[in-house]
Amino acid sequence: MGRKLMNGNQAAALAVKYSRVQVVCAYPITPQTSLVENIAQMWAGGEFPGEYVSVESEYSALSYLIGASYSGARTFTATSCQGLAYMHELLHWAAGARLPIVLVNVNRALGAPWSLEPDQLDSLSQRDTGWIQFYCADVQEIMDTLIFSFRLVEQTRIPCMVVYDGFVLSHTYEVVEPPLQEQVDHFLLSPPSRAAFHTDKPQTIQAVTDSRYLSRVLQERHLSMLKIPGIVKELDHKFQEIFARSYPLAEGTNLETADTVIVAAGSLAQTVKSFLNTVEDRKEKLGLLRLRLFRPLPKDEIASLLSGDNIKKIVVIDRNVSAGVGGIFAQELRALLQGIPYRGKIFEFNLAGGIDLTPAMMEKVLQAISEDPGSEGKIIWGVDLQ
Amino acid sequence: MINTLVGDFSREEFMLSGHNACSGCGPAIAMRFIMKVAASGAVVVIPASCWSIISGVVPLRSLKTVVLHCPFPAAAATGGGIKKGLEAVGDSRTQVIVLAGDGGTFDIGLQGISGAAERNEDIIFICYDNEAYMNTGTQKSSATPYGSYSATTPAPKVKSDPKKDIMEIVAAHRVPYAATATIAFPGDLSQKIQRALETKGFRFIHILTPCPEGWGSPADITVKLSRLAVLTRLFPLYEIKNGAEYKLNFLPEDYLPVNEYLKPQKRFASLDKLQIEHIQESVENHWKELCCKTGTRK
Amino acid sequence: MRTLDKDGYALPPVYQETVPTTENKTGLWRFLTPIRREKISPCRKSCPLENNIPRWINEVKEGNWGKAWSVMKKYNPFPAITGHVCYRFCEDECSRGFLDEAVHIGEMEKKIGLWRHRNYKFSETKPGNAEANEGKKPEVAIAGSGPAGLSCAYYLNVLGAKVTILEKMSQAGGLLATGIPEYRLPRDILQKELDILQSEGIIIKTGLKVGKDITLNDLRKNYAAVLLAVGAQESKLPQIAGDAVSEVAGAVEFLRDIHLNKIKKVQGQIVVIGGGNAAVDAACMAKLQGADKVTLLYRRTREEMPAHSDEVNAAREAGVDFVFCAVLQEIIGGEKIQKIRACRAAPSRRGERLQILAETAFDLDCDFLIMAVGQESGLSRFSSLSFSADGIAENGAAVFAAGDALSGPATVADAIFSGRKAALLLAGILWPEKNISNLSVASSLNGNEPIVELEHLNPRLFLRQGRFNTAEDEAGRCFGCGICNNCGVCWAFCPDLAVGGSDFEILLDYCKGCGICVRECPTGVLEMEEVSSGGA
Repeated sequence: MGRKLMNGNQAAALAVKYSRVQVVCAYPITPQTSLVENIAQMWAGGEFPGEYVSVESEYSALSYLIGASYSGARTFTATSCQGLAYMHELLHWAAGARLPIVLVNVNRALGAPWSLEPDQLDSLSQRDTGWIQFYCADVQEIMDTLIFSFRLVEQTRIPCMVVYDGFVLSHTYEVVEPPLQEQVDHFLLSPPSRAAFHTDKPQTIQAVTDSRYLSRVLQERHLSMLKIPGIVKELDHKFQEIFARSYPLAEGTNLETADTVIVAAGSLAQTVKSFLNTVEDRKEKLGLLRLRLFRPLPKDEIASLLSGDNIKKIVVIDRNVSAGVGGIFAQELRALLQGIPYRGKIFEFNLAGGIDLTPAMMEKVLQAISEDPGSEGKIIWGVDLQ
Repeated sequence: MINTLVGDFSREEFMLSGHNACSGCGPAIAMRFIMKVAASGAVVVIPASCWSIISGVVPLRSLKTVVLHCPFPAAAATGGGIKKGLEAVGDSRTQVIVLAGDGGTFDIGLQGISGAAERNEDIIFICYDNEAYMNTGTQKSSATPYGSYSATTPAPKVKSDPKKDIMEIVAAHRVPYAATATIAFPGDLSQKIQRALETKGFRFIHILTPCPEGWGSPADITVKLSRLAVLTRLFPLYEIKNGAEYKLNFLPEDYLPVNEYLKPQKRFASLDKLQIEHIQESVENHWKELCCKTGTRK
Repeated sequence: MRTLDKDGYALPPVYQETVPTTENKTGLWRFLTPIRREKISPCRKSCPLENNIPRWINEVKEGNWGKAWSVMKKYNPFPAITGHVCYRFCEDECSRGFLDEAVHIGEMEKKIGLWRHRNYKFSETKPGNAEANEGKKPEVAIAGSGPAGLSCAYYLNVLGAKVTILEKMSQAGGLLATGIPEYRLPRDILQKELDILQSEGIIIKTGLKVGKDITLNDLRKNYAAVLLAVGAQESKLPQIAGDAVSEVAGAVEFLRDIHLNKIKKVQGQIVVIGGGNAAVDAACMAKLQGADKVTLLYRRTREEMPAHSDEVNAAREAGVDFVFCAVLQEIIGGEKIQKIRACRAAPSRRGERLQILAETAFDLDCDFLIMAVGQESGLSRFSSLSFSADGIAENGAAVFAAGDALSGPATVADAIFSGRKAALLLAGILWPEKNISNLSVASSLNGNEPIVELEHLNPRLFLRQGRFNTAEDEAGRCFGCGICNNCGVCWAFCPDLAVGGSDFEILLDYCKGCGICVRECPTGVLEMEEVSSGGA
């Protein structure tokens, strides 16, 4: 298949089709709508042979998939901001029940007030639900990560959330190389063709437990989650063999030489990447660390990427804020680097509310951190630099 | 089969002794008959409710079939999903039975029921109605009747609003089958489960299941109260097909005054004469409406 | 570690295998335990035979006629007879009567009797052809072949005695043959019972009057025990002014003469005096035999008549006129009766002194006067003997009395009961060391047995339903008061599945003692009992 121009939502819809998902259940929400519309279109046209079910809420959408997944079907849903928040209790349930569900969250700011901006707090506030989280940087990656996820969840029974920025990726067209169906079939397990339980074998699933049993469940979940980075790496080799594309757990650019590293996730990283080489005679040597797998956070990978003595300053760009604490990526990074022999300084640059990152803004940030070493403890707000 | 005075039932049990229901539990009786008819060919979905406990705390299980627990409001959607998932993997035979309490039906589960009913999901949704949140100690639900005490409607501020008419809500979705039943009429109850099993699409059964703990009634009158609810016409037994065809299944020979039903229950202890008259009147009005819809002259 | 299935899917982690809740002995929660304690049903309580009616009805319900007969015969060996003639006090007391209509017990009883008649296989050997080993059996003589004598004979025969019945009349059956009108008891029914008894080895000798044709002493010499069941078949004829006429007879004698065809036709105006069954039967019979007019005079009111309402109604239908609160004063006529004179009495209850009202005399034309104001016991001719209330001769001889002879005129059922009791008494003499099993002969109630009260029952389990045509369906209307009739209600309503499915036993391992089974039990056989410590 030749290269095609498509946006993030279209790419996600195609990935769902190629992955032979058996039950899609969703509730429309901007900016996810065109994704489910695309699936519905393919479903109506017979291109998508799975079931597409329109339900009355995100809550029911994920409940529905919990059911379908209990039955053994390959399942998918997509949502955004309020919708993801509405699913919250079920995110926990799906993870606790070890159901291999794949979910796309298109980042959008949570109200109030109402907003359509690509703030990341919706997915980040679900970081403790026990789901794997990938943050995608471009449309090709959205498609590839989704296909990848179906294999990952079915092999690990940990549900996976594929996250990308609203509008910036969901509605922006890029050239994409869609896979061949045979490639996808080769990579994925064949879709389940039998129920996960047998009615002639009585069992109760997810019944009330005591603390000892529950603690085992949680411990097992945690240990399984710790293995995810290794499994992702392994599967990526397989993916690369078949699709000739590879995705790291976290992506480093110029980290061997950089004295100042900018850390970002999603499309922001793409923006930073293009910024790296805009000025030839810049006094700082810039590098980029893109966070891709956020849950579980690949600690060793990131620590090793940031281990160079050349790195003196780290600027974490967050398009989210945990009120009273600061950017969530920044906090995560600080926690991760605790106890690791690293002596650089960490600066926070915050674009909460979906502020667009511009080269001019980037320049101002670099200026600020070089002029005022005391700004390490403070948050540099993008909105103040506009 | 065992032929009893109250109906002929399969000898085989799909529920086990030793479950943790309180002494004299109405929902336990209801489930026993449901399972007798549905047998083991059904997956049972249970949201938070008394049956979350009765079905067994790990590692125990009291039902001889597959039981899936799900979050409180999620029952109808989860049930629909299970059915759809089973079909997707090639099992179109297994029946999905959702067993929710009144909280999971009248209150927190209502949206999911409405959605599932509208989509005509191929599931049987059974509400075992003990008229309050009994598993957590008798807090009011929208199924709690007028004049009833609950931990959140303590006397003298007992519930001042009538019980939600769930049957009308479900019927308004034009579902293929909806029925009321209660444990004192196990033959009728079993027949309705059977009819539900033979129908395709969204099926709804509303079962009144007295709760001695929550109703403040002696454990031994659980079945008697269920019977009195029908004989006083407070809880008529009827079916609605396609949301429009109403049928009364039991016409009491002579109507007992509602007080016969209210009196043995401590939750109604604060009712005065006027309030009882009010209940009597509303029972009669509802009955009249029902007679109108069913074409019954009585 | 989780494992992958053959397709590469991860299997859901399993931390612990599930265990059935039957591991959980919830019987430990229990403070009260349901137990089955059989009680006496109202029908049984009112039955002269103490017949365990719900038990055999329960068999009829299932169509088990043979089993119904097996239950019945312990209490009543002649249901075909009682089914015809019993006044069915049981139906008056039937608990079902409070819901809709009493269960048609009498009709079912009759059907069991007729079933027995149809299915009885007569033995090849003729009665009297005693088998060789019969010599070992103790021999008993019974004077009188009325219901008491026949009943005693039946039970003693069952228990293993060789029984000979001596009947003074040419026909066996006593009152059944010569007292009860044929329209109430078809004589082929009686004959069949007699045939069966003889086929069972009982010897019946007619035309032998004890005390006349054979002496009591002879009997005592030749038999191990003697029962006098000679009835009360002599009418008492009080002295009435002007009574020296031939057209006056006792009711018992009148009926007997009709049954023995000594009276072929009755004519003219008949007056009957008395209010008992014999009076009404005689009046009715007189009318049916062709009397122009029959008038029955009773000294008290209708309500006080000892005769059963069935009899009174039958007589009314036959055209008998009733005059209440009327007392016979004088018979008017010379050689031949012409009139009787009576006067009015104030309404009074039985046992009260009668108050004759002055100047109320009236005359009735009368061609024949039948007196039914009392009967003499046949024991009066054995004046040397006196009997205890149980019928044991007080001088220590192995002589017993039973039936009307002992109690005075009573019902057929009373007589059969008396015969049954006598059989047990005689058995004590015949086999002093043997423990007479209750299996073949029911012993009498001692009066301390618990009785079923209405509040024990659960009539709401039943819909109102009038009598059915078939016995099986009609038997289904019986509540089964006081017995476990396997209705299955306890099993059906148990929330803990703690009632077994085969014989409905309580499974103490799981019974939480909620008491629903007791509350719902429609027969009242279940009750709650405190347990000293919880659990099984």
